[in-house]
Amino acid sequence: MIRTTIALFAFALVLCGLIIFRPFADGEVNTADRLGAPVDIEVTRAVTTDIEALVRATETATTPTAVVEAPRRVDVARPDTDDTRLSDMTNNVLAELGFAGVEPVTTNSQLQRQSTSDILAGIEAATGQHSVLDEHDSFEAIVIAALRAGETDESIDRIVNDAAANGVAVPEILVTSDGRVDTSVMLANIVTQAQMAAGAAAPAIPEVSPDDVQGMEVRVVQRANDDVEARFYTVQTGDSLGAISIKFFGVITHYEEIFEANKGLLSSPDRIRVGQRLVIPQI
Amino acid sequence: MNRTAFACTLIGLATVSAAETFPVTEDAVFTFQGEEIVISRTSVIAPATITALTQISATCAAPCLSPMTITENVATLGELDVIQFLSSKVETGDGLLVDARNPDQRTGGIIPASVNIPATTVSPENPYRNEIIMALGAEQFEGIFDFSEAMSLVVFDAGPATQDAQTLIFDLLGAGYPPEKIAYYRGGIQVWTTLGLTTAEAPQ
Repeated sequence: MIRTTIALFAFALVLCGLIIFRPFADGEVNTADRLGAPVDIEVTRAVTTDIEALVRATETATTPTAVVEAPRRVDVARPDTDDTRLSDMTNNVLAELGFAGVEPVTTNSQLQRQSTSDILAGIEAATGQHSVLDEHDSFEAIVIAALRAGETDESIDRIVNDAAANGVAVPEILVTSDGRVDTSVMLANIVTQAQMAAGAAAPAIPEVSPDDVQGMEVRVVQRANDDVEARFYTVQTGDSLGAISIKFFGVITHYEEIFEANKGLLSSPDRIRVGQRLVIPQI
Repeated sequence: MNRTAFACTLIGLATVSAAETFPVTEDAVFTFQGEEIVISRTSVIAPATITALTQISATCAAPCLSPMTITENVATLGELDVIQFLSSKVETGDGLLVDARNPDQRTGGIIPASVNIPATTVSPENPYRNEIIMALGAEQFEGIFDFSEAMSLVVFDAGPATQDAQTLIFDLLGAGYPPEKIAYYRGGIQVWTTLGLTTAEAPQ
């Protein structure tokens, strides 16, 4: 017992000695020396540049370091859009082409232009500074010119997409999932609206089934009283919201219901992406 | 002493004739578009006008009250500051008093020398936004604006319970407009009119 106590006491003594005297420490850090003795450093310019040092410096600078690639959503470039409704635009195209019974309407784009020129006139009256509103061709004018010239569908598609690439704003529902302008929907709608202006009935709602529509799904959802068929559609390459509306409802005008039903997924009607699973509402 | 006498005379006059106008400050006179404009106060305001101005906006479900400071570095002004701005910067052509309401709201009367730029027209969605910003004196070079020559702006709207001025100011700041060139008159047409300050008819 006493041996153990003495041994423990001796051990404690040695430990205390080690703590106090620190025989293995690498010398105390001298706080006075921490900043180093002041040394005059002179910055000079050499007459000739040390090319090799420069090369070495740029080499180290450009050596690729490990970059962690953040996962990001690849998005396609999309044409500019404005608030002009495709139906208004088509109406004006028909009116301009001389269809009987079609009166031109003021599109939202024209309203915006008008209000802008009013604002500029107000500022000009106050400051005396003249400012000009650029005259650039509207999408409507480009389509009218192409139709008047009797262009083929392929060349209209090219003309329209070239114009969109140059910053001409297009109606939102014509923007496809791969960032192009859906000319086929635009032309099909011109034909539909022309027929309706001539007194024909609106196109019937087509019968669609998952067998002949790629990307379509039908699920039966059980409700309290009855079973409801819920329809879904996965966006394919080249789809626009107008095209999906025609596919399921025969006309473009139901794009609004589709957009409303999928607001959580679509921030605006032109932000449609391949692979998105859209709910197709019952009309 | 003189001032008290003057004030007493004014009060006396006011009681004699009901609809008397008072000068606001000595500098509340300025030239705009070659016309001399005097900002004064009238002692009588038609109750119908007040009723029309204090209608709660149908578009704003929440209380919609604007904070005193809408954002850092954008000063909030009172009526005297606005009058001071009109008789200095607006008169010399270095500033613009901007009405952010919709044109149809302006038919009820405007602050003299104010210019209408409706709230949403400077949003990035408007394809003509750049033209408006350039009309305010900004220079554009390869898609980048230079605001060194841009005008100082004081923005107001219907009143402290509408958000139009804030929308416009945030869109201007978003376009790069320097905050020190923008000020916010929180009272708007509502406070301006209920104080009996001079209003003008909107130009056609």
